[in-house]
Amino acid sequence: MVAILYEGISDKAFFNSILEEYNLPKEEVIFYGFEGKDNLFKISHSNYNYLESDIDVGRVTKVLLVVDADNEKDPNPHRGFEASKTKLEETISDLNFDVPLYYYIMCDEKNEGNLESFLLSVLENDQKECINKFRECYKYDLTDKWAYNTFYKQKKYPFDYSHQNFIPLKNTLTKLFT
Amino acid sequence: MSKHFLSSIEIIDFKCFKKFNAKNFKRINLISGKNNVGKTAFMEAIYINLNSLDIETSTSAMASMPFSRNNLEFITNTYSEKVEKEYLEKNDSIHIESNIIKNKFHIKSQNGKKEYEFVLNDIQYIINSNEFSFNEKNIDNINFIDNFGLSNSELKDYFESVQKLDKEESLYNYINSFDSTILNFKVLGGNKAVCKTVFSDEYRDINEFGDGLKHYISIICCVYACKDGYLFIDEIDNGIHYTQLERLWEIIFTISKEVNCQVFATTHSREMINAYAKVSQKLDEEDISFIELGRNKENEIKAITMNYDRFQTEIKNGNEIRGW
Repeated sequence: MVAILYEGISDKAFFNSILEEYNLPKEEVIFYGFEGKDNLFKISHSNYNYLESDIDVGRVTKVLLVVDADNEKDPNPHRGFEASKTKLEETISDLNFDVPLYYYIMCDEKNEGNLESFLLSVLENDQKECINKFRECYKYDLTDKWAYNTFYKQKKYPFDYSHQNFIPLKNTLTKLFT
Repeated sequence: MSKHFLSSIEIIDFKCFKKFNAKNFKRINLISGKNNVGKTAFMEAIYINLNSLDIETSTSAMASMPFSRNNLEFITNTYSEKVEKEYLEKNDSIHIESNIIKNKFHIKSQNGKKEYEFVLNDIQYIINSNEFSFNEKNIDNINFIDNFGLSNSELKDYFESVQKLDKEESLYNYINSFDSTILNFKVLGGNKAVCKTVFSDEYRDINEFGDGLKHYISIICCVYACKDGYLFIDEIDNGIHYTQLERLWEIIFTISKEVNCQVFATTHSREMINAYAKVSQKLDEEDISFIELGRNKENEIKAITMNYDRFQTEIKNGNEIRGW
């Protein structure tokens, strides 16, 4: 089985749908929700005890850690793509598990943001333009999460899983099952 | 958790187990895993261990397991020492150690001489196989319901336990909540288990009803019979409609607490597992575990014992917990 470690519930919903889309065996995935990026970086978190015992008995044979890049202007620790990458690699090293561990950082084309930013990055240009115009017109800061909930959840724009931005994620997921 | 409850077990050289251990058991323990991963053998090992108070109870437990596995109920009336010894010798070496009892059994064959070596809680007994006399001796409050269910004779014995505890009224209420058309349950003429329905004044043999009803009544009677003891139920959901699963768990949770009985049960059913999670949450009952069995890359059987919190999280996450 494969363990996917994620920050929030929307990540899990997304992985369930993308695994199905790519015909990958989602019944072979054990999800570990951490309720936040900071928790995922705490190797003392109880989920890591469970994961360790799962690895010991052979229940889990590969692991994927997924976090949002967030924005480096955010004053909290480990925010921004590079800081997230560094902390992920440090966490993986500290965990020292005897199975392959991979990671994936959710972000847009500028290496910023989160799952929603990633999903907005695969929109057609005219769709992106539409959202940007709305943001300009609205004047207040509208997050990518808002845009996702407005345009994706209500299915105004469908996912384009064949978009090139999905390729690295698809390759990472495929590695988990080979 | 009660002092007499089993909390850990180590099994060496028993059936499919080479070297296996599991721990953190609770009052109610549900076991799942893929086919042929040793769910039933795991319970059998615990059953033998807990029965190993002396040589007679230990050998009776060892010999009873292949009987139930092979559904040899038809020969239980022709129980012979020869057959018992044959079944005993199917296990030429067993080592099962729990927090309660340490037991080892080994058959030594040398120079045409065969000896049985028993080690029970560090005391060694060596008996020449020809001199070994098999005496069936069972412990009343340790019982095993296999996937073929109970015979009428066994059901009669367990119903007597219900009567001794003055719990007939509770049993009738439980049966009525399973099927409201059933008015009463009795054992007549020695060992004839019968039910009366709203449709007729006559009592009908329980075997005329569906297997689910008999299984349901067997479980309830058996939990009462295992007062201050242990109950093992193989394929607990056998014949029970999914709408009754939560009710069955509610009854098991309630009675096992009342009579201080530790329960081990196996299932393949997702519905049964979900019902277990739901009822434990509803009753705020955290004295439970979920044991998932699987094999590692060396093909050895291993266990994950989930406590209440972890089990509920796994259910919430929709993870596959019926084996790996």
